[in-house]
Amino acid sequence: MYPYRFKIVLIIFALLFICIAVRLFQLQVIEGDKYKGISKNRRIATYPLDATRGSIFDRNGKMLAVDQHTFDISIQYKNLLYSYVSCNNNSISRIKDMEVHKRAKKSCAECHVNQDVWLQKLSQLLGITQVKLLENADQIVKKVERLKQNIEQKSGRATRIKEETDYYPIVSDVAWEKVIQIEVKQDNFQGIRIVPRPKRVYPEQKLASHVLGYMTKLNEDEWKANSDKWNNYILSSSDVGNETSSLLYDGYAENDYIGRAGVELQYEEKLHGLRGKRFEEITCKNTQVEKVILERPPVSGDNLYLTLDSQIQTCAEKSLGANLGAIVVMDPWNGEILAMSSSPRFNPNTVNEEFDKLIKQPSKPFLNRAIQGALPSGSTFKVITAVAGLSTNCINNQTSVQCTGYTNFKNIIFKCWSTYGHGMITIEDAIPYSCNVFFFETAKILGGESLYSWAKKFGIGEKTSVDLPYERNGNVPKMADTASVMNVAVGQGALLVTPLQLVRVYAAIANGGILVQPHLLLKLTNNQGEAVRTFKPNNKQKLPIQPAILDVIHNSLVDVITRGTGKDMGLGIYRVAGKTGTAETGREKDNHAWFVGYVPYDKPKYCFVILVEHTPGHSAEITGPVARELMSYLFPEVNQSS
Amino acid sequence: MIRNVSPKNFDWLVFPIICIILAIGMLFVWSASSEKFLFKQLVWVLTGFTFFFTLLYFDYLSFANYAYIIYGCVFFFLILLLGLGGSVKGSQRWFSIGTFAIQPSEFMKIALVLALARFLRYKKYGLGLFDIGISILLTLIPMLLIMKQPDLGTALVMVPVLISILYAAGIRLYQLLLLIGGGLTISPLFWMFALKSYQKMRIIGFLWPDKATDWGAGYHRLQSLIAIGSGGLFGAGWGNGTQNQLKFLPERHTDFIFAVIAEEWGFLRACLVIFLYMVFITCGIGIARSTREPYGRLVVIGLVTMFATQIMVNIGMTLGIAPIVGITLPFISYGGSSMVTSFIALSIIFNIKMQSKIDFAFMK
Repeated sequence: MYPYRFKIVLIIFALLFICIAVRLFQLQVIEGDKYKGISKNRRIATYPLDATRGSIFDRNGKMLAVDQHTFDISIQYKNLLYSYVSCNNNSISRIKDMEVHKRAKKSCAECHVNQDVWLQKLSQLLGITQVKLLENADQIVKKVERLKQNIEQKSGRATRIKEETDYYPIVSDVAWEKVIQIEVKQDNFQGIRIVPRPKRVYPEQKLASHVLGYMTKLNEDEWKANSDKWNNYILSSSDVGNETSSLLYDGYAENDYIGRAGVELQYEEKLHGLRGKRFEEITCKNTQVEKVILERPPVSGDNLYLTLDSQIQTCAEKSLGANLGAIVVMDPWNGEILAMSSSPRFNPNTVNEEFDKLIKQPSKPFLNRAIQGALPSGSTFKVITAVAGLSTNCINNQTSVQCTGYTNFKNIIFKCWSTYGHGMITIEDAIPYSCNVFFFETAKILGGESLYSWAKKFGIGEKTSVDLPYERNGNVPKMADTASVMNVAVGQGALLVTPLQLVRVYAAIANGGILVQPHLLLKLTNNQGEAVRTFKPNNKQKLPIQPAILDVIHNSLVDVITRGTGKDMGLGIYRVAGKTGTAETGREKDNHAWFVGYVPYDKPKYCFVILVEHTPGHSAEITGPVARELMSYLFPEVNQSS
Repeated sequence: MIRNVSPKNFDWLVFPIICIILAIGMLFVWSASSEKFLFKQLVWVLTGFTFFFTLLYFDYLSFANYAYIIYGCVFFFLILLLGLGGSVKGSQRWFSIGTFAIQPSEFMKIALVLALARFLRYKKYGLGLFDIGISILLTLIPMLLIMKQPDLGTALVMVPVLISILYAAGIRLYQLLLLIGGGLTISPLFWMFALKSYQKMRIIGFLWPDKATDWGAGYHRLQSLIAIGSGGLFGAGWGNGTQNQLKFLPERHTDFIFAVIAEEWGFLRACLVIFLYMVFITCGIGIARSTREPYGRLVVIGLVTMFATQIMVNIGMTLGIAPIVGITLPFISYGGSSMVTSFIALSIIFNIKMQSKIDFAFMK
């Protein structure tokens, strides 16, 4: 109908196709050589740009960990090699090549003039001996040469590898004034580069070191595993929609630090940020940048706000003092951990230097006892036995037991801690006076399965899913015979609990039977300060305990302090409710002292656990002073009024 | 109506050309990825041929009867996808049925051609305002949905398709110019409301490379240019392209496969590929021209425009002369939906060609 219109369409298409062919000609034939050079990777260099790692704050915004800028001095590899060759008259197979190069140096002075000079210049400037500098250089040269040899053996011919053109850090943490001197006199320091590098600093030193964790360098294998991801930045069409992920590659560069423990490890992915990359075209001398071709700026990591209150944390650490043990303070209503201290501690700022020393210490400073110290719980477990007994109607308020200081079961003597016995005793006295015999008798009626299931309901023997790595499970044994049930009922035997599990049990009693999820994450914010993630509980569960039973337990926990085993701890004025526990290790004068509870008992605000390991005394006398000190910090107004 | 389908009307020029293009495609999918992808691609090609020959047995005029229904169905799926489609890394383009992922936006292109042709087939020279308005709406609404997915490339292909169908249907020249002018005038609205910021970055990066902040697209462009440029006149040889084999080039086996061809085969043979495509397009327009039946000719010109746009934008973006939007190279790029839709479109063109000898004069 309009045949000429089809012709016009055809002509338009044909013209466009010709345009494409012309452009192809331009790229491939006219400019081909330029791109050929680039593609053989000779004149293009890529440099990683470090991203600032997210800072870590406590709940009030006090800074606990931050990246500070430091400067490394990096030297170009060929300079290192020359120094190596000229100072070590030895071993390397390429030494003959180097001789040739050295002669070439005379002929092409412009390019090869300063190859040995860096050493004396740096040594002069920084006041470091040349020997020391050379030591660092030697390691790098040896590593690269080994790599080169491997590659050449494989390929069977002389190969120039990418590592030979790189710069390598020789001195780190260089003072700012020195850096300026180098920057100003660039020409004097050819082949030397200043590389800014973020360094992790923990301004509060040892504070909350177990929660924060520490960072160390990637080892070679880890880096290899990650660098592949890093170099192969792939934008697949399925990624296009996502604005950030389409632009990034994750992973690490050599010499990067990575979180190894605590929240530094747990939130590594969020804190780490995204590394940038710069493509530079290099001139013949390989020292100067002709042009930055492309640069992807780094994206800094998210800031992490913890639920920790650094004041309470400080108090907890002071109260614990030099004792081996742990303190956890938690909000009983939502599981926010306000303080988590474990002793002894380490200083995350100096971990890298002291690592070998610390790891060998018998007191295990890297162990976060609050989540990894699984120990028998002693009498503190009696609360679970009591709830189990009352809930299954094995016992009730009126059930009374005659305590004569021991009970006999199948000719085994099970002792109460009081050799005189407690006389006729009901649950309302059995918890305050921590009478073992009462719970032995309860255990006989209760049976193993019932106790096991109640312990599990309270989360004993399972991870609390707190946001920290390497949490321990603890253990509730399967109790086959009555004797072992009796042992577990008073917190002995094969029972193992972590302080965090225990504090959660008491939080449940304080808040009316809700098993909260303990956590440290308050929020993650991006660099604009917007919260990108807040804590969402995934396993907050209501325990099937009748309120009447909780009341009984609650009242007896109050009585522990007013008239029971905790009478002399001096905690009455703080209105503490809690339970002491002394776990025996089987060795004479070697116990674990526990004290768990919540405060104030009428309107619980804090829930706490105090653990002192390997102590000769009994719970109340050991944990008493610690608890009193902690309470005096938590409630300064009470101190004044009394 | 009597159908006059005979093998002797089968297009014995275009068919071998497509087969050669397919062979080249598989060769380079293999080079750019691995045997695994080659095998998968083979499965897709066979699926494509099945669709191709099956559809040849239907009378294409029945597509005209069902054009609006097909359009409606695909449109419905698009909306469904926007509502509940599983977001695959942030973009919602796929329906997953078992291991297959179906991309309704690919099918929308064909459905749009069928619907536009159906709507415009009996219009007289000089389309009325109403006709043009409805055509624009038919195009614009699915286009916006596809942009939201976001799939800028597929959405942009629809614009030339609309223009060429209107042109072949007899729009007046001044109307066409007004339409294009109007489109350019309201394009800032698209800019403000329909495009995502990374899409804007792509376009800014293309128009003013200095101001580009989209590092990803810049990286793509650079790597692609290096690949093509280093190919030279004769290429590095199949399987020897450094950019390709060292995995510098992103999206090697899908969107940027032409860069691999150019790097490994060089200028001369890359031109051969372009030439083959050109012959295909020329034949396609020839078919449209010799088809007397108005529905058929509109469908053919629409589909040919679709192919031509995809080919030119895809090659253009590897050459750095078109913005980087996700568009595949028909019959060459790796990918199921793209391969199958290309075959369906090809089948429709062949179908029309095989019936074109019927004299529809009696209909007038």
